[in-house]
Amino acid sequence: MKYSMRFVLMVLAVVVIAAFAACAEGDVEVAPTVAPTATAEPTATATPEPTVEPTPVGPDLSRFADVPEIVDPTNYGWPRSVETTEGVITLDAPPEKIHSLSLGHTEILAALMDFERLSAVYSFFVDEEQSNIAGLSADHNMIGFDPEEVVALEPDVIVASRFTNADTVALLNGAGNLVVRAALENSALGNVPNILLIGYLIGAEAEAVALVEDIEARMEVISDLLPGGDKPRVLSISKFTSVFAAGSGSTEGGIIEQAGGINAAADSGIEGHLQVSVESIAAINPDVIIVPQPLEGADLFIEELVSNAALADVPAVKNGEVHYVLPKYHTTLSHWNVRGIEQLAGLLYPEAFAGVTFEDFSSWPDYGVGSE
Amino acid sequence: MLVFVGGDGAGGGSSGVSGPPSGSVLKRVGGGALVLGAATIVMVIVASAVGPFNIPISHTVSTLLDLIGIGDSAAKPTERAIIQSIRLPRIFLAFLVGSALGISGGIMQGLFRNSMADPGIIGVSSGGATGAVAAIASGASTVSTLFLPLFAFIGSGVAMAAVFLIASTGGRFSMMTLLLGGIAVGSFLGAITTATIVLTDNLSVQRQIIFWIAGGMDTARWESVRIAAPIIVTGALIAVFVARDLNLLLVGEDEARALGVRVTLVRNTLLVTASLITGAAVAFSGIIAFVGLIVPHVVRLVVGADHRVLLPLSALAGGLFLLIADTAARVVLSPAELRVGILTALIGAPFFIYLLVRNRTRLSI
Repeated sequence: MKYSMRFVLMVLAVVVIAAFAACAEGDVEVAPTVAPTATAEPTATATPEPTVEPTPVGPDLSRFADVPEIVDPTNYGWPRSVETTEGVITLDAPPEKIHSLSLGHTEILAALMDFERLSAVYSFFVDEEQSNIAGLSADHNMIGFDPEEVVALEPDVIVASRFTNADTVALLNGAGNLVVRAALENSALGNVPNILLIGYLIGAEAEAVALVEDIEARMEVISDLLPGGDKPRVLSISKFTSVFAAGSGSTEGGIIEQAGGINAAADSGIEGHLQVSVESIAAINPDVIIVPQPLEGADLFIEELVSNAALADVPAVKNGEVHYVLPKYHTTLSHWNVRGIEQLAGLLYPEAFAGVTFEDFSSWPDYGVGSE
Repeated sequence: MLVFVGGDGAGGGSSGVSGPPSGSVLKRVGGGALVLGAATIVMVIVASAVGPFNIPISHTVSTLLDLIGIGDSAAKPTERAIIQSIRLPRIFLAFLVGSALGISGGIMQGLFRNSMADPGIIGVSSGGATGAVAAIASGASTVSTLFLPLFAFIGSGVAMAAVFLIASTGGRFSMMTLLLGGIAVGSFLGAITTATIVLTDNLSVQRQIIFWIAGGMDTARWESVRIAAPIIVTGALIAVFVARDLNLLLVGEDEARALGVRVTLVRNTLLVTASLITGAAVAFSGIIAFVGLIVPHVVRLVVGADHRVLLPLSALAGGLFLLIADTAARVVLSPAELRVGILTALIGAPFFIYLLVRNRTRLSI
């Protein structure tokens, strides 16, 4: 009986010790739930920064919902699909080697990704007067115009434009390449869906949104500063043996209208680029003439215009408003034509744009997350 | 489809073809020249009056009269400048080029006894095109406005010399070798032109070449007229001067020789003359299709095959035709322009087909 009592006392003692231990462990578990509470008021402390991470602001992916070529605008993973006139293509992973058949698309790609991802460039990309990526292209792999050379590069995806020959696209498709035929528009904001499509295609959504926002901000500055009232009639002409005027539907015409001018050639019924005579210039009677062609020929042409007696009464000639403008800003179909709009707006409305400095567009990695 | 030119007899047959200028010949030349001259004067006034810039007809007429020393111009300074420095040089150049192509087409059709021959048959136009392409591709055309026509004229001359050398190989000149050599040289030079277009990566160069080949008068200046006129007028006068001997050559070289014609001299003079005036025309206008082929053909249908009548009237008719075509090219898309070479082919080809069908029996084809 005496051993029984001792056993009972020992059991009781163990139970009490266990209960105590259990209570002690319960205190440990409670502690973490208290801790966040204690740190939940960092703004009231003197050192909040190290303890709170700012929420990263991602690209506004809702922008991609308006791009009709994106098959599933909720899918930002891989594989992803786009549908252009060449049909639906699906990329299983971000394309590492990209080939572009047009200068305009290459200029856009240069803003969205490392230029090294471009499989090759063409010789006219290095022309500093016509190309906005001449410097980047100078030391790059250069190929000729034979589609065989493109196939040999084994690109993951090929970007064609609406100007690319259908046979070339068929050949590249037939050789097993993935070809996307993307648009190129002559209006700055019209190109936004195109830039977003290219960004989505190569997995550079953040860069594409950043570039688009840059374009929109620049265009907003221009529209805010453009004065109301009468608009000047602007004629864009170039002389390559014969004289050509840029009418409706041309890149130059789009730039003129977005810079707050009236495209005088379009106003006179000219569509696209058509040959005109010196007499036609007198008949069109523009307030401003711009000459977007290589400087070597432009100098001679401007001299011819200002010294021609038949043009002496044309307001542009009479008022000294015949200007050379950089062809690479006025003939490109990429976002770089915004630079043409900015320069021309400054030329047409010097007072409104006095003190405003426009800068060139950046190339990757200055846009978005590409710099990581 | 070969046609023996000498025998069609249209408009008077071969009667008196080999004799000295008779009263009949002078009458026919004079009558034709009167009609074509009057039409040309009317067309000069019309072409001076129309264009993208609106100028009242009274201002145009008074300016034209003022320029020949009658009365004073009522035109404003700009109107006068447009008529005087833009429209008139273009009118004169169009007439000169058309005349050159018309008369050289007549010479070539006579020499080759083939009404399908045209001024470019011995590669002169292709040579001019290659020269022009060299000026455009090398950038020389941007240095001076004269370099492009100069290069084109040199190209025509080199092509002509090459074809003559080929035809004279072995010390014996052959018209058949000249024709085939001309086709071969023309094809070779055409390939160079095409290769330049295809291989250049400069889009503006491509565009310039294509436009130049399509032919046009838009670069006309008084300077162009001053350079082209002496070559073309001198060539035309030489051709008319030896037209009688060309008539005799149509009968056959041996027969002509028997009648006292210095066959080699006459043939070479006519070939060189036709080539030079074609070269001068091509240099300032580019390649203009159909004028050299269709104009002598039409004139022959009206006045017959006597080259003493055919050649001067082909010159006048060619000038008038190209003046009409160029005026249409200036106004049809106004204020834009159409290349005149496109228009001459668009007008010329259907008209030529119509004539062929209509005169099939008479032409023995």
